[in-house]
Amino acid sequence: MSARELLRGFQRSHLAMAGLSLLALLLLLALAAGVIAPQNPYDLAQLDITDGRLPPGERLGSGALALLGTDDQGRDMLSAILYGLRISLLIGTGSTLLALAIGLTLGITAAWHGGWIDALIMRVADIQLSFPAILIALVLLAVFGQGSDKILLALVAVQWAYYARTVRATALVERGREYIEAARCLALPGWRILLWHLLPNCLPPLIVVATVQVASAIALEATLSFLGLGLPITEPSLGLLIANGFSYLLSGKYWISLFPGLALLLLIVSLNLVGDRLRDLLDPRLQ
Amino acid sequence: MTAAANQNHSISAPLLQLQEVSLRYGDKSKISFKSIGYDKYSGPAVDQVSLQLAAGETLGLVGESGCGKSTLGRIAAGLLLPDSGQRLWCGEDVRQLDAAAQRRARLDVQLIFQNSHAALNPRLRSEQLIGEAPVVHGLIRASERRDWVIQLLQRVGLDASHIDRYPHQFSGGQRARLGIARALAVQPRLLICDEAVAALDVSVQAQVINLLLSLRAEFGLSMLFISHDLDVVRHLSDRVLVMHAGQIVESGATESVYHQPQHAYTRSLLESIPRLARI
Repeated sequence: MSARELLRGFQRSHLAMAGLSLLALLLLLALAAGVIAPQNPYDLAQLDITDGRLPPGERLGSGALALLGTDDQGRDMLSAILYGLRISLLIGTGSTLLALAIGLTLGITAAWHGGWIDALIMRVADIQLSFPAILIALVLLAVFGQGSDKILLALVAVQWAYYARTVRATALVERGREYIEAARCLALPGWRILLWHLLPNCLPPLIVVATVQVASAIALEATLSFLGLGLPITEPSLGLLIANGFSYLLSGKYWISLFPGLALLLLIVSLNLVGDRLRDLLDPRLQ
Repeated sequence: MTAAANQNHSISAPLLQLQEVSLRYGDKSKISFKSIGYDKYSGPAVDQVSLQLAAGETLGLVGESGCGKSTLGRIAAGLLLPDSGQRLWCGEDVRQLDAAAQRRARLDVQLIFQNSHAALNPRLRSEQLIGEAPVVHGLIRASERRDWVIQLLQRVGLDASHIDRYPHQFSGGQRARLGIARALAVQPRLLICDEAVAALDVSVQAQVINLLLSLRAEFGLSMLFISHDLDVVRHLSDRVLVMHAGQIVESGATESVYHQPQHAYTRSLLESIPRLARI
């Protein structure tokens, strides 16, 4: 299915189109954060603690408008959200894609080969999944230290097993179907059957799992940051911004948590809309 | 036995020979492509079955569900390896041949499946569905694929405009034709039809059977026609094998088996055909 056909498929659904546009807008904002943000929230020299906790619409000491207010460090929330969007997206999608690639390879290998390879891969996945995700990530981060690359690796380590399991289950069903037998009968090479016949038929459930996982990866990253083991407070992601404002919610300073929360919500909703439509389009049977 | 078979390796050797093949299930190490889910055929074993199929001949294989017909069909197709016994193609054990000859021998036998829906990869359009194998095996060039597929589609009674469709966009009868076109695309000599028309309604069944008959005549195909439908088998076959609980209990020319069944099981099978009472 070509990119043009995919786009046409999206256009048939208004909701999916809205999701796609929203996601595109958020991506654009994240990419252009360095240009359009009124303030660089990573540059501590630009922050002034006396600007802390300004409500939306007030002006900073420097005279610049704080459209969405400021947090307790005096960071302009709008700028922090734009930069945070960038980090959250990068870590969420990056870890998901990497985990997807690893899980897909391991899962389909397990289903295809069976035997001890299958047993080995799936038992490792079982052990992995029997620990709470947060615990595994905590241990890894405690060992390797902080930083966005470390948290990316931790999220990959937590997620791959979901994909391996999903893909294996689907592949086991699909490989028993007659079209695989027919491909065998046509003497097609094994790798060709695996890549061209089996793999594409295992993708739809994975796409759904992946869209959900992007969201949960972003949430897990926020949790880790909140616990002080994720990203440093000087480079806040959306999740960390929400966590920052958490203690001020009851004192009426809603904007510190609310606006990053809204941004996160829009991001996750748009991702899910796009993922849902993508699944429909990639499966000819659902059209 | 092997030595005798190799001496027989001449033009007069039958196209396909199974010599006392047996297959038990439950022992996974005996399954030829253990990576593929053949463990689902958990029917009774095929027990010491021998059969011969001459070039140009159509052999019917009848028996009730679960008697081992499908398993025997897959042994005949070379998709399952028997625990014991031998499968000879043109008098030779295919596994002893060099790679190119082995591939040709595999392409020479094609299966037509009962469930035409599951037998077609849902993600491939007709063009790739039918044209993939001939291109991979160098029977045609990639640039010729479209024309080749259109020819085949028209030959099996489908339209050239169907070339960009997915399997789910066809009716059951059309999918059966698509499956036949896919098999024909690699220029086989033997078609093994495993209940190929059982899932179709009667009028479509007749059309597909007539198509198979005309293809048989045109390409000089041999056929192993597996079915529980005695009337269909009678209509198509030169000879009939009757299978019961993993064994061939009776074989012979179609008319003699139908008129003078020797084995008690064959008689009960024939008597079980529902008939309209004479008025």
